[in-house]
Amino acid sequence: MKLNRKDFLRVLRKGIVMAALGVMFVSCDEIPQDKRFSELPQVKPQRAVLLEDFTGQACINCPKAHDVIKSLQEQYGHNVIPVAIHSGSLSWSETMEGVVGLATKDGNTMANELGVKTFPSGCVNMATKPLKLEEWAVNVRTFMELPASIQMTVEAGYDAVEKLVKIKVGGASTQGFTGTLHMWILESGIVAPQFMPDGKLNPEYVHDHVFRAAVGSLQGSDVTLPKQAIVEGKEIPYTTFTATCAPAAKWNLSNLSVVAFFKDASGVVNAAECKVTVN
Amino acid sequence: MQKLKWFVPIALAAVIVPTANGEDKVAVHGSVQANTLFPETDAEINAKKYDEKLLGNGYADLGIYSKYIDGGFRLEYLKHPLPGFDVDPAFKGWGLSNIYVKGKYKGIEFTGGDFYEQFGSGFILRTYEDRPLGIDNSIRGGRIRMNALKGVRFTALGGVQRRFWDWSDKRKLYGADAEVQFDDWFSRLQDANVVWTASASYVLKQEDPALDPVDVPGTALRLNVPRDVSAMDFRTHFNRGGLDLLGEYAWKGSDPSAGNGYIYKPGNAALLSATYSQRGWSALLQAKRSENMAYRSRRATQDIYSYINNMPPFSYQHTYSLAAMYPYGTQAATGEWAFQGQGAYSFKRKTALGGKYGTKVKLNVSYIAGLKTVGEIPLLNGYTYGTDGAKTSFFGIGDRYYEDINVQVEKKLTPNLHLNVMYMYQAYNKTVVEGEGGNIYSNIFVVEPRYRINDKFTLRSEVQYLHTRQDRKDWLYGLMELSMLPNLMFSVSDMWNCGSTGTHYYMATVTGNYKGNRLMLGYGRTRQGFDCSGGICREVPAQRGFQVVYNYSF
Repeated sequence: MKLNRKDFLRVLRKGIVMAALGVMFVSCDEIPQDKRFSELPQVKPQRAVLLEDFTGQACINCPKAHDVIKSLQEQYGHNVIPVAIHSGSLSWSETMEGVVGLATKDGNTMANELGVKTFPSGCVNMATKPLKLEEWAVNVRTFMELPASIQMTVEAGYDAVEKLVKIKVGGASTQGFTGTLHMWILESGIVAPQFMPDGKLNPEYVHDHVFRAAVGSLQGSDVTLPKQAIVEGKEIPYTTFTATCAPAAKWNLSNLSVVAFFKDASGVVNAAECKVTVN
Repeated sequence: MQKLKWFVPIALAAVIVPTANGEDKVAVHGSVQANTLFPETDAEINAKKYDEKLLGNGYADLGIYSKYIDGGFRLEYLKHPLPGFDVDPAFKGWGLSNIYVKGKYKGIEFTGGDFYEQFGSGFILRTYEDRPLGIDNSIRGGRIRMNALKGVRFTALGGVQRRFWDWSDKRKLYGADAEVQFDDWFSRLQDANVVWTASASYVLKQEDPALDPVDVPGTALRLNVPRDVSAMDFRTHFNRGGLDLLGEYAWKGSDPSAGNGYIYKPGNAALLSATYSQRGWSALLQAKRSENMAYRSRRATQDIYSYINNMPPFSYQHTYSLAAMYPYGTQAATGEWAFQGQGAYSFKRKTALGGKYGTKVKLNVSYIAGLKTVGEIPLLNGYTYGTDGAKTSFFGIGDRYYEDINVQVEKKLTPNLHLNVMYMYQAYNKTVVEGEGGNIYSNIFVVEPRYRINDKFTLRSEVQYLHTRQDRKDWLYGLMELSMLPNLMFSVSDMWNCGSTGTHYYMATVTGNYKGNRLMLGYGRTRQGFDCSGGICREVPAQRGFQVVYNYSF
């Protein structure tokens, strides 16, 4: 079949019209700026959420994660408990000479066990896979709204005589609990180098919520909480657990905090954080 | 379900074989591939410990071909994959990954099952399999191709895209492509030896907006993402004699995704390419501008496994180890301006530069830069989510991402001695490509002599040197390879980081070929780095161990 010039031009015209219609059709995909967001209802936090931030001082995208954490803390206050776990190939070990490194052996163990391959990555309540930064906010909100079967408190103070951080955790469960109790020492306000998103090194970056050590063992200690009725307005019948930790010389005692959480097979059931008081 | 895995291929064969009569013979082809590693820990190179004693990727393909019906399937065993393939644990698995039936009759072809497709250069659709990268983003569904009308080709398809072992129907893909070949209609064009086509393509991705919700941190705002993301591509291709011209433009609708920081600005890409070749010389000039063209079937992913499209690479694909040490990965999400030029000239025999046997010289230049942004980046509570992202000027060229200038000379010195030499200058923005590391500037020298000892034995060696003041400083690479025709090849190599760590990455291999079989046995270290193909890169962790690679095809 051969087309003459007239046929060809007719086909060409049709093609152009169809292409123009196609452009108009696909333009319908556009979402105007004022329709790009849905306002979410006010969150009613049922529990504090543990957010493990796997990070590194040579990771240029990690300060973005620290910004996200600040935003979440501004939004949810103490109901979000971030822990910066320096680990992986973009971190610097705390034993490294000539630089203030923040990665610990325990931190690397946690990252390896969770299969953290990219930094920053976050795990929410030890119940999610390592999440990308964009997924943090949704997951923190989702977990915060789940009812907690455990109410808990944590107190910690430094005993200058015994040179120990003494920790007291109280837990009360409405369903009964068998699992593990974990206590972690965090330090904020650490001035140490950090590579920034522009690729430059900030030698005086302030690192917050840095995981320093797990009290006892990383696996936590096995605990059981009896099933108890918790009545609003009445004193909660906490079961109490205590532990001590000898702080390392380089830790700044006045910037330490303790994060404690109860964990079972489903992840963290509830978590709490307190500052270490220094008398 | 497990029984179904085996039933389907057998049923397929049962359907196809009787269809072919005596005249239309049935052909059966297949292949088996097994890449395995017995991993060892090695603290010096940071090769980690694995629970498994044996890691491997295995594939078996079988295809049955006849005049009217084709069919085939593939079995994959990736339950304990090679290092680096399990970045997403969902990669692990095994089973029937690909099965199809194709019917052909009078210029109409219908495919049902799993298939691969590419429209044009791949700006809006390219699904393909690349085993070294672990990519198989095939479409499971239906496709019709019509070539019944002279000078017009039409393709329409629909289905779901594979991501490892997931073919979720919550994300769908549709597409159509029409191509008009003018020289089929106009005899004058045929007389002038012109091949001229014009094509238009359309792709629609549908993804349930409720999947992978995204909140703006610090606010009570959740993004409303579009269910439909359309993309269009228009192109024309002209060929006459040694001249080949291509112009292509693509547009993608609003597609907020993790890769682009959830901005709503549409994407676009334009490509101009001209090549000319004549006896003794050839030249290529290409330019490409793309912006916000990362098109994935899953908006929440940022890896290489769920791309619907593929932006063609503009960096030279090096095969020498040190030249390929810093490979460029195309920046589809942020966009780039890319230029590439290639020239080759063969100096004739018995001339001053040609010498007794002639000399071939090749020059390749690649320059890739970011787009120049205009004004401030709009932010909401510090995030780009929900905005249109940075404004760019069309002709504005931003920071350099990659530059490669290399000259290669191929020279036969004696009847038995052949020599290739290469010099290369490379600038590599490691921060852009890998996420950290700054700019790396390197000079690379390669000498590759090949000596034919006799009709049976050929000795080939490579000496490569990479000089840089950045990253892990200088590297030296040496290789000796002895080929014993027709069956055997021995090679030993060492990549030595002589500028910083002093680490040796040694490797020794023996390869045997017999009929359709190929077996490679090797032992050594592999450096942590990136394996790239077509501008797409996969991070390969450091590893050491004994390798067994087997291929068989029939």
